[in-house]
Amino acid sequence: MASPYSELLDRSLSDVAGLVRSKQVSPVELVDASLERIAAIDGQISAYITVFEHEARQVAKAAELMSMVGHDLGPLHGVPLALKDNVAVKGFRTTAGSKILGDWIPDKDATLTTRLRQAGAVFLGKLNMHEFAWGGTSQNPHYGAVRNPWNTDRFPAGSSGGSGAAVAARMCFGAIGTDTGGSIRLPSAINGIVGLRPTYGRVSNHGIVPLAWSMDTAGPMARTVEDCAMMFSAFAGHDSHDATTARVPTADYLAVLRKPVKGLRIGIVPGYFFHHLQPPVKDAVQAALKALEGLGAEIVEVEIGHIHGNISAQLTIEAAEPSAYHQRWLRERPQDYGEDVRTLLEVGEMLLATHYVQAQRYRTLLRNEFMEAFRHVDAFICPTLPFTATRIGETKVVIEDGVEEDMLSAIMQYTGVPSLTGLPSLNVPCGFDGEGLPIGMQVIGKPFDEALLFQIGAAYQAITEFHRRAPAI
Amino acid sequence: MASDNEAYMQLRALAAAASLKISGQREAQVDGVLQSWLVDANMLSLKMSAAEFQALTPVTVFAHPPFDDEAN
Repeated sequence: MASPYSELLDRSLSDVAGLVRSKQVSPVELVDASLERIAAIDGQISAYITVFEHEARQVAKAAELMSMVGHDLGPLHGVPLALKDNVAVKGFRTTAGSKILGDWIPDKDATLTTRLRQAGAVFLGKLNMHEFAWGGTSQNPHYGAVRNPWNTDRFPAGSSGGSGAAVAARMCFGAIGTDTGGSIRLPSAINGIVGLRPTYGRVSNHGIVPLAWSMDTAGPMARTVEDCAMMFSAFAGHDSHDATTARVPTADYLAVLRKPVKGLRIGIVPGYFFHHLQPPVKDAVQAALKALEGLGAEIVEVEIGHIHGNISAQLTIEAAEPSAYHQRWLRERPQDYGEDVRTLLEVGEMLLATHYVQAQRYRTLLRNEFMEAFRHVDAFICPTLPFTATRIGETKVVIEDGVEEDMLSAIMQYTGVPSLTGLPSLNVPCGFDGEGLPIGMQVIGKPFDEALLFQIGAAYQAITEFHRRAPAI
Repeated sequence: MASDNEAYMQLRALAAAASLKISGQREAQVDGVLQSWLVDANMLSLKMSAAEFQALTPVTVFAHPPFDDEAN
């Protein structure tokens, strides 16, 4: 059966960037195909809050003209991307998925926006998300519930649910997400795409609406590891406007993609990583480990004695910090929050200062343990989350034995660890369950070692096809 | 069985301490989340107050001011 959309949209970001560079495809064709796709299916998905239809066409035309006269803006010249709606774009509404910022028009770009522009990207629009990024379902009361393109009765996870769904459904070639407790990795896993949570301090948060300052990061989401590496190269690095960014040099992230994984030591924590998860998820991640072992990697069992307790620490910090940021609005405009976010913000105000400080001390404990473990392994691999996409509107999830659990706690079972420790982590698609819903694995690395994560992810994608499948929508 | 007034005494005390107004209709919803999180937060506090962790300092956000030539 013929594809219902342009064949171009099935190409990876790096492919189309190459086609533009060699003048085989015009940025105008890419933008037209993307906008046509958005018009055709986003009514079913609600991935976009704002589409820059006119502006995207204008910028694409300009990119085409520049290309024709041999002027290359950068590695993303003419490539259509989209931004999560908490990333500022000068002159365009940036809502953070909220009613409260529903009319906010930034007068400056976020640093990340500027750097992507400088690399030649064309922005298609702003993507739907969980309100203020405080939640993992992307069931947005103001801009509509984002739906999973693999099955529109299922959720896309979140908070960057619009980013995950738009990339998977071929409504853009890559997207920006933000990740505090898992908000890039979760929708990447649930939508079957690649997503990187960078090391804390690797990417500027300047111009991004915060959730929890001590854990917030922003990163790329795309269909292949190479695509993510290409996007990441454009915006990673120190920013004088964000005092939390580190002065650690970036690497050549594309140069590592064909390096073998032979001899790498991959750590697993058997009592935690493969405990309390749905069987198809466990089977898929264990099969991925076997595949990497087949490429010459060594799987090493590691003990992280204090890993239990990470979910409470995560929730405590992720509750307290946003509640400080939202304190004024919560008193002046409480009715303008969705019920779930309002409740979480209220709860965050009622936790004690000692709870918060003990959670921050726990982070030191957990990070110390991981840094010690990195003397024996190069990276860790675990599931990204313990279950596949649940039905839209669910607040509980069943992981095993028919027991219902709170979605927010359950969804952070594995993503909380890198969030608390500041370590980089990459979701890579590694299978599908019996209902055709995607499964992802999470590769966790040392601080500022994103290159190794790309190396492992690319080696895995070179021998698997999961990332090539497209949802039938 | 505790009356609503007794059931939400802790919630009301904490909300009052934070100068936060929570309407009667929302108390059950907020209290449900709060009570479950407090149990886990208290367990973590108990763990972290153990003598073996006395020397651990909390993670904080360290600001690195720009060099003079970067401050634009």
